[in-house]
Amino acid sequence: MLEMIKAELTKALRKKRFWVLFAIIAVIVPLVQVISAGFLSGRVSSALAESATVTRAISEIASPYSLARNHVGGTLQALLYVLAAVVAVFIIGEDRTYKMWKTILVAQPNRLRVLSAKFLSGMLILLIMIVGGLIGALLFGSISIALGYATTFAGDWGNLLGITALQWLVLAAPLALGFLISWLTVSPAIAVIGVVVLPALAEGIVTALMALTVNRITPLTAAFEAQRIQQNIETMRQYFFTPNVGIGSRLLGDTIKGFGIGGSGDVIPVMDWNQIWASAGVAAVYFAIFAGLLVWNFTTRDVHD
Amino acid sequence: MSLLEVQNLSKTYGSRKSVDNISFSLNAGEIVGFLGPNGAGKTTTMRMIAGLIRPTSGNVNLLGKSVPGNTLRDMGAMIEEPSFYPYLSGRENLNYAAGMHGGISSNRVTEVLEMVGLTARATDRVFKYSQGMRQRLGLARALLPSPKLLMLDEPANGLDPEGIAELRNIIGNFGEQGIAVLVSSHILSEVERFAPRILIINKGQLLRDSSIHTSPTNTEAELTYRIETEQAVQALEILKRETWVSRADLLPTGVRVIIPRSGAYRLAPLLVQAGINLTELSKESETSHAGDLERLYLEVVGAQQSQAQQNQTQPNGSGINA
Repeated sequence: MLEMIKAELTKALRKKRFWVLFAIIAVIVPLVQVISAGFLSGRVSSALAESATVTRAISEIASPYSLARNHVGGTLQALLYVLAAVVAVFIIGEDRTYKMWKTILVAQPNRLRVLSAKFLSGMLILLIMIVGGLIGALLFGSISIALGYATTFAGDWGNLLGITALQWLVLAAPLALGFLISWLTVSPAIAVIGVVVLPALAEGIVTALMALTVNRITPLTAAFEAQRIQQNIETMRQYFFTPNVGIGSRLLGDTIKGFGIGGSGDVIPVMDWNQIWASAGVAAVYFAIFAGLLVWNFTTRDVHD
Repeated sequence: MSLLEVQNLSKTYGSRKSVDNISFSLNAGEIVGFLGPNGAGKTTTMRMIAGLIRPTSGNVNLLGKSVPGNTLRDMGAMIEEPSFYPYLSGRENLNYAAGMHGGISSNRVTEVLEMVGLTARATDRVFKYSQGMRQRLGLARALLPSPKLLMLDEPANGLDPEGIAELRNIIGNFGEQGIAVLVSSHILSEVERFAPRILIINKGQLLRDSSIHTSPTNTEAELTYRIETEQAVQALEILKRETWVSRADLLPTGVRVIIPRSGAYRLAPLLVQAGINLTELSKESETSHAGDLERLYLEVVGAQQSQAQQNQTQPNGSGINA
């Protein structure tokens, strides 16, 4: 198994697209934040610069902890599905494009082993991206401190690392979806679009269908009916895919709350480990469904390519 | 016990039988040609042996163990056009295959690259390779696990004459090393030179499993003549009427005819006496055995097609009279 994972990783690391993604996550985004912090600190007047809020705000942009938090809670969240889809296409999608399955499955006839090795390789690539982002944050954060834009390394590193590790594990669900779509479709582009669009589309349809299930409305019951539908949708959303996969966004929710914006947690959910574990549980169920379908289809389908 | 046993293998897609109840076996060191027209079921059969396609019925045993299973690790295969990751080099592609297989050293990768003559280009990316080089690399990959059974589907595709000759030597050596080889090819003259035994398949059915050299037609050398004449159609008709003429084909400016050496003296008089004005009569080639397999192949496949046409014309034996 280790030899197979090594072979997959070696192959993936030879792709330019991998390094482009890595550069975006680990270099470009933190670099832009540090430059922004420098630009802001140059723009504020000396009176304002002495204000604790302004200093904190600038530090929130460019300190090592802030860069790391923004990486997990921001950049990673924005790229979550794209990342999972692109990695799935790296690992499994292009095998169909290049007609490699006949070669791979002759070299290793145990299909479950092939799939496991490829999936673990995908998870390791995601880990490389996430850890790369954290290292980039530390590196550019240090530069930021040296330049005087930030003052400290301090931050809630325990929670950050905990949620990062969990976010990585939860990424198994969109990765499994990416594998499933990549395996089923010929085009890598369709696979990427499918992973990015399908979950939200399906959830939108379910929500719309729920909104349509109205009881008989009278002027007296209309308000209650609307509330009932709203509640049903809220309850259902707890079990949707997309709200539960992006658990890292809670890191930013806490920060926004700290600034008094969206403090109720309505816009971005705040850090609540009970809710985080619940989300991880829901994501695990989705993972089991996608992985189950994938294993069934992968191990039984004829290879004609 | 045979190295490979294929028993009553069938594959059905909807109502179409792609492979229809075929059985054969291969012993260690045996080199077998697998022949048939396009769409005959050769590749489907090979894919079933390789565990890529599940048979509708029947089974395959390799080294006494059922396929699909771990026993396939003792098999090397090149099925249809070999495929690679174009952005990896030849060596990296082999390293990848070695990694997926497991337990193959980098020395073995170097060894197979040398075996197929690709050492000098091993670090070039595969997208720069010619068709012939890709065929060689595909063969190298099939050889990686030191297989006991090697399945090659059209291995000579894209190879130049020198490459084909090398391939023939390589395949010949496999037999001596005790490796069983099942090789499909449309180049019958080549198959004839390295495969002492052939399987002919058409429309999913195994029509012939025999040794080439026991063929009753393999007794006399054949000559191929090119006849230039303005009366090509008439010449073709005259030649086709003669039972001693092996084959006659119309060309844009004449006719190509294959005849046994014993009939050579009759060719020109036959045409001249029939009033054909010959512009040129030239011998194109002479083969000692080549052509025998082609004739056998055409006989076997043609007989089945004639039978099928007859069955279509006379469904249940009553079509014409109905």
